[in-house]
Amino acid sequence: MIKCILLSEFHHTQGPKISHQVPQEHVSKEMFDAIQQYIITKPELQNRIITLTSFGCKFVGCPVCIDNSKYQRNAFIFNICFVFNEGSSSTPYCSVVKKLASYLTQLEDEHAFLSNPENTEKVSQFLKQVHTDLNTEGYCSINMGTSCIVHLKRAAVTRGPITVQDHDVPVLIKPRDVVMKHQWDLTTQQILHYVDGVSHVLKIAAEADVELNLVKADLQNLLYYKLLALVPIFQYSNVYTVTRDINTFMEDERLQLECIDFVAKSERALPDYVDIFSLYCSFTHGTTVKDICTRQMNPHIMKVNERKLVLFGVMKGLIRRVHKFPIALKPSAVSSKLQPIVRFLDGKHNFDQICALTGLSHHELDERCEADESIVVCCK
Amino acid sequence: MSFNSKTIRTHQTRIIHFCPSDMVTAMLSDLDPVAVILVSSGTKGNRLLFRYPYFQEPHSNHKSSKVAIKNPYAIKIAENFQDLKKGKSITTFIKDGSLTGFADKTLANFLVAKSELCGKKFSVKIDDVRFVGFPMSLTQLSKETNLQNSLNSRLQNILAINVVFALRANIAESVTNCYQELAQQIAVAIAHEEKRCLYLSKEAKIMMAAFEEASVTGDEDTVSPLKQIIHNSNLAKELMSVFDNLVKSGQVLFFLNQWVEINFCLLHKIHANVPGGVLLETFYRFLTYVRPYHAILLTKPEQELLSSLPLDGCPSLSRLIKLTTPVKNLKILALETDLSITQIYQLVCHLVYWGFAILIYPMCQANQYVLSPSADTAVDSKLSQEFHTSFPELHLVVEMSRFSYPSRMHECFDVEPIANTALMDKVNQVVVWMLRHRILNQLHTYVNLLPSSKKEFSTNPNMCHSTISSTHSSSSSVQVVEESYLSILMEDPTTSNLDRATSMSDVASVNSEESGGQSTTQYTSQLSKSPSHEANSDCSMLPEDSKLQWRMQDNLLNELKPGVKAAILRCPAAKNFEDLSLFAKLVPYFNGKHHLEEIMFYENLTRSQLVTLLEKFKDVLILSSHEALATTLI
Repeated sequence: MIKCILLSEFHHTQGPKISHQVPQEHVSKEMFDAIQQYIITKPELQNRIITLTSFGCKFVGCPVCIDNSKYQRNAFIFNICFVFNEGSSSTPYCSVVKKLASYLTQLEDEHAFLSNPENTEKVSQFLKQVHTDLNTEGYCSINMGTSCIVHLKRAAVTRGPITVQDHDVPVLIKPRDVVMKHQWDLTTQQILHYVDGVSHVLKIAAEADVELNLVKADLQNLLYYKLLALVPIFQYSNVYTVTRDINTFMEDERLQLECIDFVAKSERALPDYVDIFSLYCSFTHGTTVKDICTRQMNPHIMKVNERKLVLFGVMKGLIRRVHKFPIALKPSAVSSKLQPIVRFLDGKHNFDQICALTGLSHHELDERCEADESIVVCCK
Repeated sequence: MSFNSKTIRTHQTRIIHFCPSDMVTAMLSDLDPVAVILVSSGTKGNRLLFRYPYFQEPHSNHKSSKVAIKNPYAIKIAENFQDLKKGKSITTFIKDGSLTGFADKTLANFLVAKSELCGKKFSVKIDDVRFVGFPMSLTQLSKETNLQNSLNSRLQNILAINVVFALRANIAESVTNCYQELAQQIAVAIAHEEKRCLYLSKEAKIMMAAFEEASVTGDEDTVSPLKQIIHNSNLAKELMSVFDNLVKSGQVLFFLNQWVEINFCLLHKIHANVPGGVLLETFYRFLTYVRPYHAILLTKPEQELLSSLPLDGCPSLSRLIKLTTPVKNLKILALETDLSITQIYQLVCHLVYWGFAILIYPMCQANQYVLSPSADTAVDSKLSQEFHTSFPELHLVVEMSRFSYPSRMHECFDVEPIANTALMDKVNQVVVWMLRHRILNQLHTYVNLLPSSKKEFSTNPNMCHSTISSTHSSSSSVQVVEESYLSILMEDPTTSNLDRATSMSDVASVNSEESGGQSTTQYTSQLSKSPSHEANSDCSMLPEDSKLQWRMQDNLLNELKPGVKAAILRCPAAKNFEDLSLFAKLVPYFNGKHHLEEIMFYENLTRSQLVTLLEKFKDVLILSSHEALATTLI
C-alpha cells in the first residue's frame, strides 16, 4: 500500500525541496530536511533505487539528473519517491519507481513536464492518479499526450524457477478447463494434453514429440502461474512416510471431504475418512506401496484408489517420499554390471534420477545394488 | 497482460538448473555481511575511518562491476535500443561477496546521518546492497561530561559516528534487524568508551593519520592505509574480528576496549542446519515447546564451551553444562543442579539460542532413529570428512545407511549390549555425533483415538457422511445404542433419563441412598447381568465402589462424542475396569499430538504398560510415527 507519492527536486536557489506530494502533508518539511541527502543525492548514486527506512516510513526513490544547458544550473535533478509504512514490503514497487522515473525523464525531456511551473496542476493530477490506481488496481495506464502512455504494474515477488527434472510428474492443480481457457502457445497446448498426473516429464516429451528442454521450460512457466505441482513418479516400489502435518487431516474437515472425493475408487461408494487416515498412517519408512496394497486391510477393500491416495498425500504434505540413494564407497570396487553407472553412485543421485538417466528399471537397479557388497543404500 | 509473453518464453530454451544443495549453501553465505564500515563526521567534514574487508580494486573506468543480475522471467527483447542508447546496464555493488564500486568519500557522505537521524536505526538500500547501522551523535555526550575544556576542544573533532554493516539487499528483514542490533551495540559501546576515556578520539587519530599519509604520497592505493590502520588501531582490529567472526560462526562475543561487552549471535546462521531454516518469530515459539522430559546435547566439547563463557557468567549455567549428559532429562538436571525447572528452561533456551546445545529426547535403548531427510548423503561431503577425523576407521555413509530404516540404537549395529562394552561406547559416540549434526531424527509414536465408524453403521451407508460432517448431532440412533447399552450396564432406574452433567456429589448421594435401602445380594445379582461381571467377579472391590467408579468413568468418557464412546466400550478390554479407567485417563493424549514418551512421563507409566494398553484398545486407535516438532527444529 503506497502511503504517499513524493516528488522532490533540486531548486536552483532553495536547494532540495518537496515539489509535489500526494496526499498532502504526509511528509513534513523537517522530515524531508533530515533525509534529503538520500533523496537528492550526490551524482554517484543517481539512477539507483534507494530505499531509506526512517521515521517509521520507507522511502523508495530513484534520483535522476538531466543535464541540459537550458536549466539554471545546467542540470535538473528530481526524485520520485514512494512512501510506505515501515512494516510493509516495498520490493514489488522498486521496479515501478524506476520505471516511473524514466517516464518522467522522458516527459521532462519532451515537454518540460516537471520543470515548467505552468504544469503544477497537471503533475499533481498525474501523481494522484498513479497513487490511487496502483493502490486499488495494482497497475495503471495513463495517457500523457500523443507519444507517451504511462504503464505501471506492481510486480509480484517471485523466487527463482523451480527445477523440473526428467522423472518429475506434473499434476494440474486447477481444473483442466480452467487451465485450457488461457491462450497458451501451441507447444504448451500440446504438452498440456499429456499432463495427466501419471506421466513423467521424459514420457510427456516423447509422447508429445516436443524437445525435452522445451517441455521443461513450459512446465516451469505453468509452475510459475501455480497451475501445476510436481510430484515424484508413482511406483509400487516407492516408499513414503507420514509427516507431522498428518494432524491437520484430523482437524481440517474440509480437507477430509476433499480427500474423500479425490481418493475414492468410485463416486458411488465413498471411503471412510478413518480408513484413509489409517492408510496414511501405515506409510512408514521401509513400507512400500506394494506392501500396503497386499495387506489384509488394503486400499482396495477400503474403496480407495492407492494411486490417488499417494498423490493427494504428497500434494498436501501429509506424506513424503523417502528416496533411496545408492552410494559406492570405492568406485573401483564396484562390480562390472554397475560400472557404467558408477558416476551416479556418489550419494547425490537417488534411484529415480538414476533410473531416468540410465533407463534402468527400479527393480533392476535395486537387484544390482543388492548384489554388490561395496554399495550401501541410504534412504531419507 | 502477462500471458502475451508466452510465445517468447517458450522459445527460450535455456533452463536454469538449481541444485538443491547448492541453493542451501548459497543462501547461507548470503547471510554474511559484505562489509563493516566506520564513518564519522567532524569539524573537518565527513570521514571514512575504517572499512573491512578491503581489496585492491582493478583500475578501470567503470566504477561498478558489470555483472548484470539476470531475471529468469525477464522478457528477452531482441533489439533493445532503449538500453543501448543510455549506455547503462544493470550493475551490482556486490562482487564475489565484497563491496565494490563505492569510493570512500561517497560512503562517508551518505553513511553519516544528519543529527535528526542519530540515535535511531539507520537503513538505506541502494540497488542490491543494504546498509544498516546506528548513527550516534557525540555532541550530546560532550555536553554531559564534566571533562575539562581542553579535552572538550579535542572532543569537538568528532561530532557523530555511524557503525554500518553492508548486507545483501535480498536477505530477510529479520536478519537485517539482527545486524542492526549488533551495529547499535557497537555504536553505543564506542560512544560510551569515548565518554569514559576518549577511546574513539585516540583511535580516530591513528586512522586519519594513516589516510593522510597515504594522500601525501599521492597514490591511488586505497588498501595500504587500511592495512596500516589494522596494524596500529585497536578499534580496527576489533571491527575486523567482528566481521571475521560473523562470517565464520555468526557469533560475536568480546569486550570492546576490554571494557564493554558486545555479545551477539546471528540466529539464522547458527541454526542454518535446521531443516527448512529458521525464522526469528517461529524460533521463539519453538522455545516454548521445551518440556521436562527433554534432554540437551551440547554441540561443542564441554571444556571448549566452558572456556568460551564470559568470566562473570552465570554460575548455574556452567553447573548445568558440567552436569548435562544426553541421557538426563531436564527434570533430573533440575534436581541435580538444584535449580528450579523454570530456571533450567531459561538456561536451556539460552544455550539453544546460542547454538551451544540442541534439544533431544534423552538417549535410551528404546529410541528409534532414522536418517533425516536433510542429511547430506554425498560420499565426499564436508561432513563426511569431519566424521572421518573423529572416527578414522569408520565411514559416515556406512553409518548413515544403518539408519535408512527406523532402528533402535544398537539394533542396527549387530552388537550384543553385554558382550562388547568398548564397541557399545563407540556406537553411542557415533549416534551422538550424528544427532549433533542433525543427521538423525528420532521417530515418535503418536496415538489417535479414531474408531472406524464403518463397522457400526455398515448397514446404513448414509451414516458415514453424517459422522464426518456433523459430530454432536450424529443422529439419534447412536444416542439410542449408547443409552440402551448403559442402561443394561447400570441396571439403574435413574439411567433411563441419565443426566450427563450429573455431578459427583449427585452420584454419591444416589449411591448412599441405595446402599442404605438395598441389600448387597441384590447388587451382585444385578451386576451378574452386566457385562462387567467377568471383570468384577474376582475383583476384591466392593460393589458400591465399583458402581461408583463405573459412573465416574462414564462421566470421564462423557467428554467424548457418543459414537466414539460406544466404540471404546465395545472393545473387549473395556470390560476390564482397570484398563478402561486407565484408558479414560489417557484419552486426552490421544489426539495425535502427544507421543508415547510424553504420555509415559506425565502419567508415570512404563513403556510396557502403555504399549499393552494400546494393544488392548487397538480397534479404536490409530498409531502414526513421525518426528517430534520440538526436537527436530531446535
